[in-house]
Amino acid sequence: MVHDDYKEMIPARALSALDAAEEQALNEHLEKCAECRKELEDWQATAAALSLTPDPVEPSPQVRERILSEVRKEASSKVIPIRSSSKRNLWSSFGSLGAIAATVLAAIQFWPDLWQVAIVVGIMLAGQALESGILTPNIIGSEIELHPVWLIFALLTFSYLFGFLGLLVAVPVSAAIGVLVRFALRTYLESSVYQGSESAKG
Amino acid sequence: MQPEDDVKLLKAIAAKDEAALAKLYDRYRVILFGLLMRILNNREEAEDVLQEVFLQVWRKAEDFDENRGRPFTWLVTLGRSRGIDRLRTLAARDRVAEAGAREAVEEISDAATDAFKSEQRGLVSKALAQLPDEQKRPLMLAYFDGLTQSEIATHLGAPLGTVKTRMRTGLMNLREQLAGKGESFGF
Repeated sequence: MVHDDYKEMIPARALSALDAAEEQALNEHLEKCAECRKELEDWQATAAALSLTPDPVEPSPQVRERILSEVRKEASSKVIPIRSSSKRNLWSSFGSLGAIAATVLAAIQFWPDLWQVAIVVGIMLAGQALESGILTPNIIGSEIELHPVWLIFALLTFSYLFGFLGLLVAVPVSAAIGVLVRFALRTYLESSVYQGSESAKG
Repeated sequence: MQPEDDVKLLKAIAAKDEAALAKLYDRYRVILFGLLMRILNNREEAEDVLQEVFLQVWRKAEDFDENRGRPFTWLVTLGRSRGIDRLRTLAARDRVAEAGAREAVEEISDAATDAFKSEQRGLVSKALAQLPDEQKRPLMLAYFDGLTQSEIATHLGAPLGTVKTRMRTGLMNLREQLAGKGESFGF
């Protein structure tokens, strides 16, 4: 087929009335031909005028509410991607468990000498303050956006598979995997495969 | 007509401005819903699709390119194709609805049909009335019932070539009728 044949098909394409084979052939031509793309846009504007012929009808007010609440839900789920607060709680609860264990051990070890116990408690408190106030938020913090359960799972799996080296690379590798998975999911959800085809984009 | 205004609204929506989406919805809801009711002839389905359309507008507003057509065209094309998609899903599920045998929908809202749109509607209806029936029917069957050219040929009992010609001539005539009737249709 030549350019003019395709051009003749464009009005029907604007009404999306072409049969599948023809439509595919025309779409391939449209990819290459800017003139025909422009032509299609013009015909789509004419076809869109037909939308004014039915009588306008008022949808029920709930539709507006549903749209806006859905939109708000989407917006808020993007702003709060499992915040670091839950992570911090988990890490600091590990920290305090360790502090209690260390205090008990110190008490058993040095019992009559309360100074020694106080020193151990002091070191634990300082260490924990450093860890939960500066290290965790800044290093693991919100940057990697991984749920604590994934983090634990990653640490266990990597250390089991690759030993100590695995333990070292577990967090960065799982963060990288997380980024890729989120990207793939988003791309899929926005693609025409998921959203259905739409001729609106011409 | 407020095309620049609409462009601004779509840009605001692309920047995730909820108020802009609400405004666009209020501006076009009765037209789009009227269109969806005409296509689907079922209030529940039409409302569901209307919601789908505006959620898609919310997600896809950044794809809108003002150099490639008017916001109105974009919105209506999106709405119509969603409506036809739903119609096909339903038709596949139930029996195929008898094309063209639809009752007119009542309940015209006066609150939301502002001067601009009713003027436009008048123009389109008048232009359409000028078309001979043999050209008008293929247009309507394609646009509102989502039939392809060969389905229309079967439905009307006319040769495919004839249907193709009439459809093209019909849309051309419509374009001529509307030409020079203001900026609003994009030419």
